[in-house]
Amino acid sequence: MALLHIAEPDKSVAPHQHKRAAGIDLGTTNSLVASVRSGSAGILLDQNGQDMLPSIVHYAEHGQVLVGRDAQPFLDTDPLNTLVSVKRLMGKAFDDLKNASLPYELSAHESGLVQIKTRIGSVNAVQASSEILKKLKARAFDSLGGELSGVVITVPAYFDDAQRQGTKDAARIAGLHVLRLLNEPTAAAIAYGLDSGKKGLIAVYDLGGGTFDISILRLQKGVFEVLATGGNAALGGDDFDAVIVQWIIEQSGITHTLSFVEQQQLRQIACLAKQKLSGQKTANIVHQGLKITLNLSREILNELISVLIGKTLRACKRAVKDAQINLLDIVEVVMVGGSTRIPLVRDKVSAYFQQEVLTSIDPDKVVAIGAAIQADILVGNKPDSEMLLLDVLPLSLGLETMGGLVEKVIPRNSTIPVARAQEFTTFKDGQTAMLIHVLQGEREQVKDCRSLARFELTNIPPMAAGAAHIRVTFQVDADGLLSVTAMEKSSSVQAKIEVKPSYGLSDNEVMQMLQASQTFAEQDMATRMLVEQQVEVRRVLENLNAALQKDGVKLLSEKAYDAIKISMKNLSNIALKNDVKAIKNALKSIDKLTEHYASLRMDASIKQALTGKSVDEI
Amino acid sequence: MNYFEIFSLVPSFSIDLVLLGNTYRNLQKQYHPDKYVMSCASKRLVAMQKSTEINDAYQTLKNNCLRAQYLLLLSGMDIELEQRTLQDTDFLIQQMLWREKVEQFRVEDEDEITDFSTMIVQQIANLENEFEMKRQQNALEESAECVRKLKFMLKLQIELDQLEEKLFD
Repeated sequence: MALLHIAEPDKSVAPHQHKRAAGIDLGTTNSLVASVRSGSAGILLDQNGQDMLPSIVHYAEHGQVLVGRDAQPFLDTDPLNTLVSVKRLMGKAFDDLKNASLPYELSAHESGLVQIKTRIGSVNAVQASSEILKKLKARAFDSLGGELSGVVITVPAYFDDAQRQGTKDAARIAGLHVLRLLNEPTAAAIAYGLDSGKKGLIAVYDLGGGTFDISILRLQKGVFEVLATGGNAALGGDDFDAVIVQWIIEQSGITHTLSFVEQQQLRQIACLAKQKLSGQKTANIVHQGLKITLNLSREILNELISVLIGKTLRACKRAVKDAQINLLDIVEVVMVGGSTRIPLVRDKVSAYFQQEVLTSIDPDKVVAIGAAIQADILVGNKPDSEMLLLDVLPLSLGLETMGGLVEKVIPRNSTIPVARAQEFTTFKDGQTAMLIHVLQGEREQVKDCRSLARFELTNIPPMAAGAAHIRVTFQVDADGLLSVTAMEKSSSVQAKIEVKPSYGLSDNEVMQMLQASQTFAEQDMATRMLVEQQVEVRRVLENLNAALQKDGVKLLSEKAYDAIKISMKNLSNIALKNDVKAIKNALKSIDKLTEHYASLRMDASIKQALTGKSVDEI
Repeated sequence: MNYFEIFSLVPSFSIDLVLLGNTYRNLQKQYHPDKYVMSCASKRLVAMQKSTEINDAYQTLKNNCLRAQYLLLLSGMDIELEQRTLQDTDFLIQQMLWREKVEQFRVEDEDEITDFSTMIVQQIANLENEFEMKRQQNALEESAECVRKLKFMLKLQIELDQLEEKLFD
């Protein structure tokens, strides 16, 4: 193998320095893992040659967890235990989703975090996402031939702190080292930017299954500077499906409440029709159980979704304004996400930006490709790389003030990492504690913003009202995650901070999930080894059968022939039992038993090759 | 190190914004946390702090009003959290009239809104020039007054922006 490994000298580093790194697009509908190999980024395929892993998690009987295509069939037969679009639930509180039409039994965790009831108990979005990540991790292990040093995971630019933290926790539970959380539109810009060597202003329009993002970037000498970002964390292809389902219900005059299964089926039918209409003018909609036969034309689809597309264009307008640039100075418009295949989306975006939009890289893969390029650089495989990403905080951070109002501390679109200090004072004599409520969002009232955390400043030295000065520093790191420190200035007492995340998992909970997952990981590993051995048995038996059929009788004595046959029967029986060790032993013994036969075959084939040929021909 | 020193600049109101941007990108290429992802925790922390400082300096210096305010701070005058109000009554009355005007704009006043917006931009430029002049004359209090007025004008500009968004979107 060593002699076959040839790479261009400038594109590869010495093997011992090269680290395995991957970019992961943890999507609402599909997830992907990509890596840079021999200087170019590509999607890693599974054993069946598939690139996309459907973001579906099925909790089967006996604690088994199925992910991706293996989980897909259960969408119809067991929807309550088969989770789709969990990304939409990431970092969400039960209260946020009370009115959402989700086909699951939801409940609230004591932290407020939403949970889904399944047969293995209550599961949250972090746990379900970690199952998807584990599957991708195993795929990367198989394709790259070893453990990953680190990964870059992409998140919608519009994800708030709770959603980002949730994603990072999921990676931790899956046993991945996160180099960086990367905003999806920025990842797409990297994928395009490095290919074409462009410079200037770039707009990235990213309409995925569940989220919409718009980012405006400036690319200059390898530096991607995000100028503004905006979007909607709850708007995507799923909403297009939902309006189609609504249309189907209205058109077919269904009045009764649909069952979970029927809802799920209608969604799938709607989604398929939508996809078909990207290539053709009309699509049939048939549901036999509900006696539905309809015809959806592209015109009707356009009518149904134009309001939703309008929403995305308003966000674009705001982003252009926030970036303080002229719309016409934008040199490239990059399209990302499966929903940008819809002709009306392309037409409207193209019309808005007054130029042709870029779709040369598969919109489903471009984010993972960009993440892989970034991961390769961050892990240190390209020490001379000029590339740098300067990203921004997507949503303002603020504090609760009197009357339930929010005072902004760090405005949105500030380049990260960023920090701000704010001073507080006591309003009562002898006050020793203070409650600080941190929020994220653009609205003015506390109730309209996302509550991130409540901090209790304790051990403030008792002083007269207004005499204590507490300096609270908010630091947002390069992942866009917030941390807080506080200090009483006059006495230099570092105030003790109790962080109570409003909607997140405490460190303890993450640790518990991590432990639980490791126990399962051992089980998973054992299952995998068993399957591998069983596959090996099948391969050995097939080869032997073919060989015996060809020349067994000719080359072997009757006794030796029978011995091999008996041994094969024995091996196939052992393979049915779930004993890895026994299978391994049986494989070894059959290997030994057939050693002589193998050398006989070798001799025979050499003889055959040499027969009738002169020495010169060999 | 003050913000100007970080960028190897002499403290001044008029600065080369293109040069500032280039220096900024070069500094971040050296200090950004992305360059230290595989380093130890303490190096990562230092990188984050340094990169945070560079971002803060850049945001302050590239914005005219923030840069003016920062120059005042370097001269020992912190007007960010001050409680005192403007003494110029004429200016305050003018502000009130402008505010009323903004509130009364309707969709059909598009041309008038455009003119008004141009006027604000001009006023802001005038105040910036005046600030630079007073500062060079070492008239600290008078230059501070310019920045206070500038903040009023910028607020008015934001209000007008929001109104436009409401009326025309």
